[in-house]
Amino acid sequence: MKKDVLIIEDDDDIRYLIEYILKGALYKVRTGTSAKDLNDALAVKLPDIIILDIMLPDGNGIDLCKKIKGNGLTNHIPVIIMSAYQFSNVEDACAEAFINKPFGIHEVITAVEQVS
Amino acid sequence: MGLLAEEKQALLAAIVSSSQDAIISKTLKGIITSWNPAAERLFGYSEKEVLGKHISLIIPEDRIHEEDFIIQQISKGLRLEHFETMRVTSDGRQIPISLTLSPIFNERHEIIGASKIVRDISENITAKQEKEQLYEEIKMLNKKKDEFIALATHELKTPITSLRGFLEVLQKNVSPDGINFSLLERCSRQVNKLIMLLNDLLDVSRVQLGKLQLRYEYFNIVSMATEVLSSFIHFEKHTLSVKNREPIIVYADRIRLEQVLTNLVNNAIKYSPSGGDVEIKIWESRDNIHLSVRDEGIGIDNEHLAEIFSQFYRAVDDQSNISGLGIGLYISKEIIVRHGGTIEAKSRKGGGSIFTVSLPQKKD
Repeated sequence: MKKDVLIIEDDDDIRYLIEYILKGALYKVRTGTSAKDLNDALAVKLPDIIILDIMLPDGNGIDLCKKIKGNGLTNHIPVIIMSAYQFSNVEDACAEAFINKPFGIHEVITAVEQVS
Repeated sequence: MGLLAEEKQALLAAIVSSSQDAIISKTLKGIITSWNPAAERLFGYSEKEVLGKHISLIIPEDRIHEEDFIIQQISKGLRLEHFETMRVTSDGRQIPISLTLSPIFNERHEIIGASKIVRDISENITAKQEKEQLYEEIKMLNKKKDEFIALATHELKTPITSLRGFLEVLQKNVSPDGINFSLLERCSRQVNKLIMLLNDLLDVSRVQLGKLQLRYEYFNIVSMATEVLSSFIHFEKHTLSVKNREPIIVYADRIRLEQVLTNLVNNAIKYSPSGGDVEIKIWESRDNIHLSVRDEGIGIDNEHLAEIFSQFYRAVDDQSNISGLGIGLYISKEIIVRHGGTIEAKSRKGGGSIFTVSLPQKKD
């Protein structure tokens, strides 16, 4: 069964793009635009994978990732951080993968497959 | 033949009265005994007004203790040179001055007073302050420029990411034999150019923040050069070639060296608009690996040659139709210098250019 991916990204077009790519690759997709959306979505149902933008209107993706990893209920969910800054140190944010903007379609799919 | 004592006296008096610096003498008790015309001009008191008065007349209240120190030094027979302080004029203005004091001796070599030369340094101080202010301003502007580059680059990334992604999606959905496919391909090539420019700008801010890091590995630089050239095959007017066949292994940051070579080849093509050979040669010397890129292009003037590795410097004038931001060579040089190597250019106006990179190699 294809996995359930939660995308949190405040830029409409980028969120739409990732949703389109992943739906094309037959993933189930839920989306949100803020830290609040993330918490709400987690309360409804835990996803299999989270794709998280760093700069959100009401929070920072790195802090949110640390919170997810610090919680016994959610720490098993792989997180992919998406950023316009280049990150070399994946461990620092405790995410499973990074996608640097500007990314191509295959980079998104590769990252999702890699953490699945 | 020496001067008579009288003549000597007259000469000294003439020197003192024509001096641009204020020259004052006083007794050990601080009573003023002489006051030249420059002192009159500087402090606004005539000689007649001040003779017999105490020197504290021109010392600001909060600096009156300086006089005790000065008299102490003089009593010991010591000089005081370029002592910077403030003095006050007849109309109450405080002026910055530089003081040079020496003891005056009588015939029996007893100290009877002090002579002082006072120089008005307000202009020096203003100039110094202006310089400091300008320096701070330039430093601030430079910092703002770096911050702006970082911010602008970052802001541009989001729309370019969407553009690139949607173009890729479109390309997948369009039949590869129609005109639309080739139009989309051109679009994507332009977007890739944008991304390259963006990455260059990002590198500039990285270099400025000292965040350009190298990841060393062993690799075959000849096959890397061949790969780099293969991405330029759509330039039909140029003949691109790598002179080497045998592999040469180097220890360096592969991605960064690829970036340098891409930049050099890109320049070689860009600055030879009528085409010609672009030739890469790689060779080893005792402790170095060298790589050169030669073109048959428009060449570089001697006056520009020394500057081409500077940030934002462009060897062509604004009217030229050869585009660029003037950061490629700057970043290339930074990358090579961080490897402990050198990059240099030889060129003649109209006679093509040759850029040579040398990288130190540890032999084991």
